[in-house]
Amino acid sequence: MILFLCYITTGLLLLIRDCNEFLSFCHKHIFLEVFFAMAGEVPNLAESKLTALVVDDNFVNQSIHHKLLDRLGIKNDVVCNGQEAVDVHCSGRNYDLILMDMDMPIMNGIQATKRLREMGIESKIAGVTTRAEEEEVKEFMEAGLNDFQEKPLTISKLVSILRNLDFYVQA
Amino acid sequence: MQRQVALIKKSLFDQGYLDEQFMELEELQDDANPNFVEEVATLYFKDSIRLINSIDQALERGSFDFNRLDNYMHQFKGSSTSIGASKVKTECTMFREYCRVGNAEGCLRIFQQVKKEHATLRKKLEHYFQLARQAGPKETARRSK
Repeated sequence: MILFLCYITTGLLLLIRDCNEFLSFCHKHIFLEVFFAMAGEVPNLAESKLTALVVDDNFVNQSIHHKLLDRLGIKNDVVCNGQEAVDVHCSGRNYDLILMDMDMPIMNGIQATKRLREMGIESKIAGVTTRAEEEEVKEFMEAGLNDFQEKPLTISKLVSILRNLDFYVQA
Repeated sequence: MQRQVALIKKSLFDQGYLDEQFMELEELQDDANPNFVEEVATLYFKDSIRLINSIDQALERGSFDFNRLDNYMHQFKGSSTSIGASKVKTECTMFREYCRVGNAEGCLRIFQQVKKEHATLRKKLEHYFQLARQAGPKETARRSK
């Protein structure tokens, strides 16, 4: 009787092992996708050689946005207002992505976005601002943005921007 | 020591001084920038003190240019939001409401609250960062790059 129970138990354990291996073989990839998605895995895009420009007059936000991009492996420069963003493009620099604040002195985000588009700059521009009234967002988008996120910017919001703009496709 | 640091941090969240945005900043710390949050906080306090002085001067003049005051406070609120300074952010919001309706007395009163919360947060964070530095890299650097 005891031997019989051991036999059954061993058989069940082997069956469970085989099922697990089978499931593991089929679903490992999906499981990892879900796991990493839930765990908020931060992608490293260094190999993609993306470049970005942070346009913001606030030193705290400059520091944070620079670090966020850095964390994702995206080389980036920082300027303090829309005029500097235009000037840096006039000097011949170009970026894959521009994170554009709205309220800035000298030239604000709406003016800068319009100006860059008039210059033929085709970089993806994501508006990043605390202003979230529908009319304000609409005006900003119509200036030539490709995407918009409300501040404060976080890793997940930045990944969302990259995904929306096809810079990052989750495996 | 690390336990003490953890308790202080917990109390800052429990008492509403900080919100989840502060944790987002901590997630950005790594071996290359183990003091990133403290650096950002230092930037914040330097910038916010400048804004407080500007608002103080504007209020002392007695002529209430609500647009200008609102612009200053918009910047102040933006920075406060970015580092997770929850109570300061709330007071900034109320100040802007008073600006919106042109209530000078309300602006004056709330601005005292803004300064009070700002000073309290500064003191608490300075104490927290000082202890965190003494505790060592485990509490400051959360990940290897």
